[in-house]
Amino acid sequence: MSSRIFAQFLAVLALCVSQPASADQPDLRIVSESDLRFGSFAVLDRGYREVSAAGSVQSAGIFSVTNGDTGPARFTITYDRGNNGRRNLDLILHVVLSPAPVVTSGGIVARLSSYQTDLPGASRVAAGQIFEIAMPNCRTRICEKTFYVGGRLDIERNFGGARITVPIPIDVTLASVN
Amino acid sequence: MTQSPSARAAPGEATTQGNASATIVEPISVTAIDDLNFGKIAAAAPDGDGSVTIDPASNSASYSGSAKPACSASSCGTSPALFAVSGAKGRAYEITVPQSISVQPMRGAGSALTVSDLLPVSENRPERPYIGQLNTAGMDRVRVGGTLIVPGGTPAGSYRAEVPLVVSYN
Repeated sequence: MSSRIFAQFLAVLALCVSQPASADQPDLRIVSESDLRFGSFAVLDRGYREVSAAGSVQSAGIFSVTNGDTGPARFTITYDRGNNGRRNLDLILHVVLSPAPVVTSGGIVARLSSYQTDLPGASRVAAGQIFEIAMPNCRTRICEKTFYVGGRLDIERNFGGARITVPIPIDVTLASVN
Repeated sequence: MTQSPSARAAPGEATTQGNASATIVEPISVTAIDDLNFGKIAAAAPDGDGSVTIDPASNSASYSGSAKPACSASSCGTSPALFAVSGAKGRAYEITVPQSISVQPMRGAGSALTVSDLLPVSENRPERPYIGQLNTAGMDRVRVGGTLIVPGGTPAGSYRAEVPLVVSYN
């Protein structure tokens, strides 16, 4: 009985040893961690509010209803190299914020424009423009980069009020790994 | 020098969608409908002060001191000021009025009178003065009462003042 178990153990061990060491494929992800929040405000007929990547707020033609409910969007890019290698990687990523659609809800028309980020060299980016994010010295299996996005929301009010949600499509491409 | 397989992997791509959000509130507005009216008053004694108070909740007038109604109860025409307020459905708002206002004589000689203790009361939220509540149609009405001080020796005449009222979302 005991010799049979030993034989089975050897067989399994041999199977494991004969297989090559496996690694997952590298994986690039981007996650939206928080919305770009323009807060609550009243508009007579038209106005705008601009929230910077740092969170500062500028407005014209609107009346604030509440305070402290504004803030930039936050995104996190994650690169998983797929193995536990410790070789230093310098990653270059290309990011594109696509044009946001014009959103109409009841008598409210909202347009999102003038993207801003807190990334070096990309403080203001046009919709569709490629900008670069560097992730140097990536030494762990998973490396992350978090950045903030601001923008300007123009509102036309024909009647009433509305809760507005404007999508911000964002794409990231791994441009180089060295 | 060797490279790990991940370092030579084809460039990856990822996409997501964030959101921008805002709540646009219908602006709040106020329209004057009726005046704050203290009616016809008789200052009974030349040397004694009196006052007339309009209660915005009950619309009733009460007199004290030398001030007496110079009319029958039904013909005095006393009333609180009435304002219509419109805005975002269901929202509460603050009502601001001055503590007192000066009432100027319209004709003839005489000194200005004072209306004090101006008190705004919302129809939809009468239990809390200075706070209004827009209903499901985004409407409310505000009544404003106060106390007119009538010093002794006040000459006969008509007196008039504007009652400013400011509403804002809270």
